[in-house]
Amino acid sequence: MTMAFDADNDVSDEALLGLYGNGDRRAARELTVRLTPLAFRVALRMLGDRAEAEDIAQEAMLRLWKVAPDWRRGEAQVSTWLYRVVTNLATDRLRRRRGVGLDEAPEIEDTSAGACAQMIEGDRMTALEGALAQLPARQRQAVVLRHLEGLSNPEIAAAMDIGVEAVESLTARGKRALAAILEGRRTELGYDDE
Amino acid sequence: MTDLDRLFAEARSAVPEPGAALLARVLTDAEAVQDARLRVSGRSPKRAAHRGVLGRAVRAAVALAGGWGGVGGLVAATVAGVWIGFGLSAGNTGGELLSGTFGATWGISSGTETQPGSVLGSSDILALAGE
Repeated sequence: MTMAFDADNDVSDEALLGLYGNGDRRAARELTVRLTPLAFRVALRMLGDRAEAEDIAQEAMLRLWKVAPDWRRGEAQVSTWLYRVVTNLATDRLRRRRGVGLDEAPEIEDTSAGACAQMIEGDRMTALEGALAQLPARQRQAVVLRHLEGLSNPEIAAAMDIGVEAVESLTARGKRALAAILEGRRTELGYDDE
Repeated sequence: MTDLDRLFAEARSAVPEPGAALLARVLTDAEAVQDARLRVSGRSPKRAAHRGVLGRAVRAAVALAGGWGGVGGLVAATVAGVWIGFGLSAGNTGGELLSGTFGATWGISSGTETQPGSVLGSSDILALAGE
């Protein structure tokens, strides 16, 4: 299938969503190309599994299509809304995957090493994915948004519907936990040689 | 920069991209939702930009009147209602309505002002004509 869409970056996501709601086919294509990568990328970084990330991305985008006619202009950025939906869907998926206890799940390498190998090259990336998989869901959500997506704390607060202080706490605890998990693997990951 | 910060930086540069199949599925959903919504409102994607609230209201009225064949009577009745209302608000009696306003009503309903073009926008007329 040819996916040759125009890069219409002068038009805001919100304006495109309005056009989409009015039946504009070109807006549907432009929003698909513009926002699906974000949804997929965040879901993949949260879940570490490509197939699951694709499901989440498709579901999040479907919710966007459905909410378009009721979108209230100026209240929130479309990308912030999408970050929230994707991370919430991924968090739900993580909790279901982990069953009764958030901290009892196997590390990601144990269940989906093949998928990880497809999406991230190198032992370091695999190690990071494995370490992220050991964090509680909300910490992982905050760390992914802050350190992998590069969002500011206020943006994360809006996406997670919590206060900025709570974001700071989650990211700090998440980062400390990651450092502790990875500490024993410094040599294996090549950091002792640098 | 700590080891973890370097790891984050490496991860940020390794951006996973969605495959064409996912993009196609998302676009299929987008168009299906769009089509379903437009079907409910009686619009089509191509003509969506030319239809307004007034057009939808008139289409609904046309349907209630039994199609365009009943529209002539509907227009006449509507205009008569407007004039009767106007006459009562001006303090006219029933006799005055029958002797004066009723005649004026027929005068208007038989003239060009009873045509949809005097009330509706041109795009609504075009949309209606296409039904």
